Amino acid sequence: MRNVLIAMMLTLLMSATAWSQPIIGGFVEANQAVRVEQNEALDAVENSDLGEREYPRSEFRAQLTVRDAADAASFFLRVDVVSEGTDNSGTAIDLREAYLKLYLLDWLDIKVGRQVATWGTGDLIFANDLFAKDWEAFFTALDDTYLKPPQDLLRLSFYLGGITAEVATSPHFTPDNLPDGTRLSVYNPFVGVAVDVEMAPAIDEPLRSLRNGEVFARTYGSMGSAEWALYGYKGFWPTPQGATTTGMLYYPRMWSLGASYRRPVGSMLVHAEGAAYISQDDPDGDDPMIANSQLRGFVGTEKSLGNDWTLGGQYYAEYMLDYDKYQAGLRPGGVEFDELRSTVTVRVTKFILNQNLQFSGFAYWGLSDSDWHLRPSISYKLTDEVNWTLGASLVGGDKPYTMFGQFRDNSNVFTRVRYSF
Amino acid sequence: MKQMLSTLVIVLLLAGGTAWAQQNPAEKLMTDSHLAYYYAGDGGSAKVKMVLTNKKGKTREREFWMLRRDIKDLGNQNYYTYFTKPGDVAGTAFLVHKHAEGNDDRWLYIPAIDLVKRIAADDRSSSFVGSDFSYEDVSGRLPILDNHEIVGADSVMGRATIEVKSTPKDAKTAEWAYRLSWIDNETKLPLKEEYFNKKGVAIRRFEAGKIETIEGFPTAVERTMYNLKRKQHTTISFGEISYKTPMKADEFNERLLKNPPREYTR
Repeated sequence: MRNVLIAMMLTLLMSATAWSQPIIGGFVEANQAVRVEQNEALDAVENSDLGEREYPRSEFRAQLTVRDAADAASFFLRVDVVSEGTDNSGTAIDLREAYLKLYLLDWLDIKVGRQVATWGTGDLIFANDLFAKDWEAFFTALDDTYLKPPQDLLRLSFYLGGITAEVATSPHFTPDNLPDGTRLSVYNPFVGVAVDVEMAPAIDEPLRSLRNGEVFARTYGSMGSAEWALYGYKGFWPTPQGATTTGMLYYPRMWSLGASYRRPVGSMLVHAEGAAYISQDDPDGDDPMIANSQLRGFVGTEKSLGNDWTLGGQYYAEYMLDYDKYQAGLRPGGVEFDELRSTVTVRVTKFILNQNLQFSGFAYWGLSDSDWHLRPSISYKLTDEVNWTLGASLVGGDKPYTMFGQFRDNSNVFTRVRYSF
Repeated sequence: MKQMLSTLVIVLLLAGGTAWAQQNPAEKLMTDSHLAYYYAGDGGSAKVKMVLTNKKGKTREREFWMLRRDIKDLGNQNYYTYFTKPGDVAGTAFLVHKHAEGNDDRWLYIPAIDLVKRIAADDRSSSFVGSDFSYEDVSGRLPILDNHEIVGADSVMGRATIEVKSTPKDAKTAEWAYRLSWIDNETKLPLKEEYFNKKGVAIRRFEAGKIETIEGFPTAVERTMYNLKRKQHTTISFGEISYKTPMKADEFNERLLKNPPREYTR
């Protein structure tokens, strides 16, 4: 079967002789992030690299993109070359995307290879988008687009009249990239404090076998100006929500079903999304070492205020199922989360100077967990090629184990200069 | 006299009723002009080069393909824009379902994160991609929103034109108090427009730089909008124009956003 597929693709590639000239683009940039508060977890280690302690990120990055298209196919490549200034790891090559798109039939598109995928209606919050996230990049000065790392996927899109059905499968599980104690300190649930990389909890990743693959599905359509979508997922919790008795974290299995809806109401845009996360290895919630099933959802709105001002707000909530069993399994004096946890987000954007200067602010406020994250930035396009950004990633919280609280003491300000071509 | 009147009434009825009867020559001219400028053919495509020049003479450039498909003359239209320059926006695509009545639906596709972002409806007088053209300049302001009167005849670019003054019926729908348009007698295209504020001061000026006939449709292939307050201007030049509509109206969707037609990625 696999050979047949490869043969088909090769035939197609060769028959599609009409490849045009490849289009090349990309950028070079310098990223520098500086800590603005002391981090005892990182300072505690005597041999810790001084650079990393002061600079969560200090790097030169070059990106090259190549795209080309033939009659029934297109190809895209995106490669980052990164030279990190704070350690001796030298230059790393990061193949971010390398995929082929095939347009063989009117009702089917195929996208195969390493690619980034996003769906759902949230603004920097997610319920049905279970594609991997890179939280380390998100908290350390990289452009927002780096929140989405690539995955190896075969993505099929079926166009059935007004309805589109999509299935994406990966032969192996791609977990979220979480801070590991190098750039940022990380919470170790076994000792109950934030630690550096040497003290970070070991995480057991599932073997790279087909049995440990992932399946993502979505069906979507529209009714007038309103858009609806249904989603499904089968794979693993994206963060290590399971612990072993031997003191390791791992990714338990889960599946999910959900839906979203988005439409304009007057001059406002409103969206709503919900999903049920079913913890497959702990369906009844009685295993205290594995996360319980959850309901996740959010509602949000965005409005243009005119004069290049945009304002957005969202309310997000997570509801834990089988909460009584969760409580029964808690260790005395241990970490306890609320049954219903909610977060509010606010976005403000303003452009001036012919949209060459952008002010942007994004805030998360955890109502139940008393934690927060602010992302202010100023971005100026000096020329069509050169963009300069000054921003900050500020985090805090009362408790060291919540979504943002776990990264407290890791606030940093950053600057980025990018030359695009 | 009585007979003349009744004949007139019959003629008016035969001619199709009140709409025609109420449309004065200025309205008729502006409607024809709107159709010629914004609704030529059933749609089309063009490669657009946009140059923004600020007060200091510093320039910014954008290049994009623009596709249009009309659903109904003077009614809804679908627009698709695929950016090829500058480098930081290359590959970004923009989709608009323009509604003659009510707010437009807009989506932006950001390829680096595979994100289809829906954009909140904006004031139509807001800037199109930071240029001196507003969304309304690009996709059109329906003539029924304004009252029109013919104020004279003039020559622009060596062509005979009729000068029309337009005043918004509802002042809140425009950032200008009135507009003068010079409509080409032959092609009905606007060759020049001037926008005035309440004090009667000109704040913006539009000039059609060059008219060519393409596939039988007279087309302003070069257009400049001057922001007289900020002393800056934007010129857009259209190349590779075609009025053969490559896409059906219902194909202006997420699939198109994510999969630019091959000929437009150059």
